[in-house]
Amino acid sequence: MNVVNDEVFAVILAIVVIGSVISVATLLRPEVTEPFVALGLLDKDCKIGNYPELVIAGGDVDLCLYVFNYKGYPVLAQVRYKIGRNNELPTNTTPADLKTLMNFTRLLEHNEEVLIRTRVPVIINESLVGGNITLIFELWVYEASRGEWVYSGVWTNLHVKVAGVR
Amino acid sequence: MYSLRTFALLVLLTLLASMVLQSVIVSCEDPYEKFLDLYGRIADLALKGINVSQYVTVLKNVLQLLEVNRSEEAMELMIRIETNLSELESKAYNIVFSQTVIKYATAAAILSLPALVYLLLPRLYIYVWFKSRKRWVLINERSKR
Repeated sequence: MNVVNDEVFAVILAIVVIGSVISVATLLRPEVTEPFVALGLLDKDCKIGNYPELVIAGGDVDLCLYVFNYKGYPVLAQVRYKIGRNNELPTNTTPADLKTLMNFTRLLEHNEEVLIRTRVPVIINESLVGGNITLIFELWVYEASRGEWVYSGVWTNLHVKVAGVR
Repeated sequence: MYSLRTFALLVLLTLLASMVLQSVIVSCEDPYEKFLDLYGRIADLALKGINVSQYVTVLKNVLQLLEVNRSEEAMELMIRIETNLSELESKAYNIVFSQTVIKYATAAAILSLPALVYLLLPRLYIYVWFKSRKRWVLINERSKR
C-alpha cells in the first residue's frame, strides 16, 4: 500500500532536493566573487549634477568624493588629487604622471562607503588662464603584503575652464 | 649588608633604565608606520574570515588622530589594540578551523535533508494518519440493517 501518493511524494522530494542544493551552494560560495573598489566625484552637496565649470587659478573648488569598498576585507584607500591637461589623464593601469597636490586617506570596512566633502586648491601656472584643465582624482590602496601604496586603476576627473587668477 | 643594599639599588636602577628606554623606543617609533603595520595585520586576519570590525573602528579613530597630528593619543590607542590583536592572531587558527567545521557540518546537515525526508516522511504521515483517526469506530453496515 502506498501511504503517500507517489506523485505527491515525488514533488515533495524534488522541492526538498532543489532547496537543499540551493542552500548549500549559497552557504559554500565565496562571499565576494568580484572584489572591487569604486570612486565617484560629486558636487559640493554630494550629489550628481551641479559641477563647477569655471575655476580661478589660486582659488579653491568645493567637491565631494565617494569611495566604496567591496574587496571582502578592510581597505586603506587614498584618493590623490592632481591637476593636468586633457592629454595627461591616467589610464586603468597607470596613474597620471603629475604631482599629487592633496590626498585623502580613509579606512573602509568591506561593503562600506564614505563621502568626503573637500575643498581642493587650483594650483596652476598662470599661462593656463583662459584654457581648459582637468582635476584628476585617483584611487590608491595600501597593499600590506607589499608594504606600499598601489594604484587601483580607478580614477575620475572633472574638466574645467580657468576663468582668471586670484 | 652593604653589598645587599648596593645590589638592590642596582636592580632598581636597571629597572628604571629599562622603563625609560622602552618609553624612548615607543616614542621614537613612527606612528604612521605602526598604523600601516597594524592595518596589514588586521587585513590579514579579515582575509582569513575573522571578524575584525572592532579593530577597524579603533584604527579609523587612529587615522583621524594622525591626520590632526595628535600622534601621542594615536600611539596610545594603537598600543592598546596591539595586545588584543596579538591575542587574536594566536587564536586565529582555531577560530578559522572551528568556522570551517561549522560551515561544512551545516552543509552536510542540509544535504542529508532529502534522504531524511525520503525515509521519514511516509512514516510520519502514517503516524499522523493513525493518530488523527484513533477514536474512530468501525461500524458494520450489514449488521445495522
